[in-house]
Amino acid sequence: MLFVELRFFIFFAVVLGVYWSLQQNHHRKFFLLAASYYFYGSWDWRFVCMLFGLSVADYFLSRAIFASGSPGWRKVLVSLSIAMNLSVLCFFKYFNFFTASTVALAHHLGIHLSDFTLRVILPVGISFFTFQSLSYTIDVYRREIAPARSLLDYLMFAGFFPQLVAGPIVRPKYFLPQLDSPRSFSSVELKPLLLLFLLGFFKKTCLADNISPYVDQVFKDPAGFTCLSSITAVWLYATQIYCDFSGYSDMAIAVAGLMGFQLVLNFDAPYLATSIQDFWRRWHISLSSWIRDYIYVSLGGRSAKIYLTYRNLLLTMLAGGLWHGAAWTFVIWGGLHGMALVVNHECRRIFGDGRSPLPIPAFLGWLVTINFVCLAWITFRAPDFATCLTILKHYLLIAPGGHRMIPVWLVGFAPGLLVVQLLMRKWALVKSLAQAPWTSFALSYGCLWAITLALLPLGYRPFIYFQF
Amino acid sequence: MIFQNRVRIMKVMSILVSSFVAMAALISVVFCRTDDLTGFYANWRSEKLAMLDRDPHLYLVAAFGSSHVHNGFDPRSFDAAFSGATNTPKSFNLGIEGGSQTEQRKMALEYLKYVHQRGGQHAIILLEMEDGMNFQDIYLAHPRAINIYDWSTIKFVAEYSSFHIGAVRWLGRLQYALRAGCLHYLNVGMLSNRIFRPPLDESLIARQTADDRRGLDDLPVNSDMKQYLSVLPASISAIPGEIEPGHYHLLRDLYAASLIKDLKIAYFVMPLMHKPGFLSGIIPLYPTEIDGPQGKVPVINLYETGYELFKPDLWHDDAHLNGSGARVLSRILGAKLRNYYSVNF
Repeated sequence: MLFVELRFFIFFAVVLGVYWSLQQNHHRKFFLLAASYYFYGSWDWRFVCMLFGLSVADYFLSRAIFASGSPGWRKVLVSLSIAMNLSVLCFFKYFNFFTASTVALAHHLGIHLSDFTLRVILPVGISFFTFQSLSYTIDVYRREIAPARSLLDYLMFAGFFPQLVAGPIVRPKYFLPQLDSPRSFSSVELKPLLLLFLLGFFKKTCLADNISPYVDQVFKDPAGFTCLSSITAVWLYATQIYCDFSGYSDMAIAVAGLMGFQLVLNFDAPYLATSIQDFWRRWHISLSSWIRDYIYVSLGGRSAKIYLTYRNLLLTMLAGGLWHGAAWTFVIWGGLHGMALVVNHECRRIFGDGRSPLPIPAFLGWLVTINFVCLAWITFRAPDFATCLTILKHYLLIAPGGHRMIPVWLVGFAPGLLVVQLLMRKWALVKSLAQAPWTSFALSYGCLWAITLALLPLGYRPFIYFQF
Repeated sequence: MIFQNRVRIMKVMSILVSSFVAMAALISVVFCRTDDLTGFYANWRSEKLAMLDRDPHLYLVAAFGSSHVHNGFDPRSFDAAFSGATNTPKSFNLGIEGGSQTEQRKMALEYLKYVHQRGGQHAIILLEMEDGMNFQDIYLAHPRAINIYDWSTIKFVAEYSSFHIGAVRWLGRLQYALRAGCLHYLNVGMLSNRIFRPPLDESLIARQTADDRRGLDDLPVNSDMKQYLSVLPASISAIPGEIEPGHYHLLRDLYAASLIKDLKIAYFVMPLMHKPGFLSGIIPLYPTEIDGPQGKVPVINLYETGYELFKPDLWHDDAHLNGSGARVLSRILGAKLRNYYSVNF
């Protein structure tokens, strides 16, 4: 069930109506949990059992970790929880990737191994909910939080449907306190949330889904297209993935907000970033802060020995790349971003005080950043290295392109949207509309939905981040 | 207080709904005129119309229907049998994969405009009698254009959905038509189809126009068909075929829309082996003519060819002829139609 489908609208209308009509907090939580499992079960009921089983195990393990006074035993228990979550993640997501890579490597070394792959169905959102569970047990282990008050609270935290399948990855210290008291309808800011949902819906369906056929066309046969078409396709893909994922996040935040729950901001105009470090403060914020706190810090974080800091950065970004998908192209994407962060740190160390941003004009910083990010997206989107290399050569104008073209007007599409985003932020358009009186708001909101539906492509495409 | 709040909520809701309806109506009037489909794109349906449009020759005979026609009507063989050795009038295959009665109707209406615009004064339209209705959700999510469920299409569909098909099927069709109609009147996909119009599939056009195919997508031979057809009984029996009010409705619509002097329409029944009872030797029987708004309309039943068409080397699967089968069927159709017109006109 996707947020953009009619059946989700019906489902959510029922959930919202029943939820707010219930008076007791635990009744509401029970109901939301049932609704969340129904939502997740609409993909495959078998995985609801897996989600439930993992959540129950993590809940009891974390209680045992918290109660134990023995550091050794606590370490064993937290390792058990990490191993359990990671083995589920690795089995479903990486088993075939690692076996195929091992067979290929052995073949390269002259050792012949027979191919062994399983037909594994990837449970939707597995990377998100396993990371969320990991943050809970690690936080309990670090004594940063107390365990959830009840199993129901924990099951709600692990399975809350708005963010279950594609984030934002919610931290327990942020979400669990919200379960302690009943949410109040009077504190729900209806207008901003309704606008946020519409904005997310528009970004996903009217922008991302409409441009994806052009991107697919070029990445399917890159050699056949002109260099301008390849460059445009890369820009369009940058737009597509941003609109797709941030659109989902906007809708998730709005859906949770309409039930009185707050989720964290996941995107903050990342393509307006003026450095790669700034980009990662704005792109998929919940994941970047997660890998910073649980991978980078666990590896040692910022160290007195600069090469150790850089090693930690690289390893963290490689893991971040692999998190996105079981393919070497994702690993390279992570590696590229890791190297860019290292270069950024080193430049700041050499040319500045090591803490402030580089002393260069913001526009130049933005230009370098946006082009690097777009180049890196090529590795992320390309199905194989050959495609990646062809498009890279076209993008850098070092190889002649083919003769096919995508419509020329699309060259201005991505830059145009960026200008629109800049102006919307400058003039705070969404905020002003949300502050308008209810009558003006209703008038605009109705018109905006009519335009959005007319711009809807027929045939929904799944969210890109569902595969991660 | 509660009453005041309710009044306020009702007021806001009515403004919201009114503004939505007003904007949707405005978009519909300005951008979504369904009498002109050329601005829209609809997968291979648009490619078929583009093939016709790009060809300088005026085609005065066209066959419409589903994939059975798309893969089973060879204009070259039809012409040879229908017109003898002469080159005119030439025919074109406008059958489409997954095409339904509604799409057959839209394609035929577009074809009539084409003949008129090219100055044609007479034309023959060949319609597939047993074309399906495609009441499946995947057709709701089709790219737009020919699958548009405007009011006239809904009325047309209703005439294929009388109660005799059973209450469950009738209700299923009703809810489908209502959903499809809602999508249409909410303008879903109409603006995006105009703005983000995908390019035509040139390789598909090249394949279906090579060797003067004129829209035919000929399929290869399938060796499994020999075993499949080995169970056919020696004798056949017939059951009455269904002629729905929709079949007459289609004739009325086409004659009403036609701006050319002499329009002839014929129905033809494609032989399909996946129909229930066929492997037991039961075939549908139709009258040779039905009443149209401008006189009799022939019904060419291609089941009635003895076993000439039911040879393994003529079929790709149980519903689609291969290239050789298309040639045989089109020859028979051309000859039968020529006989009919030579007797009746």
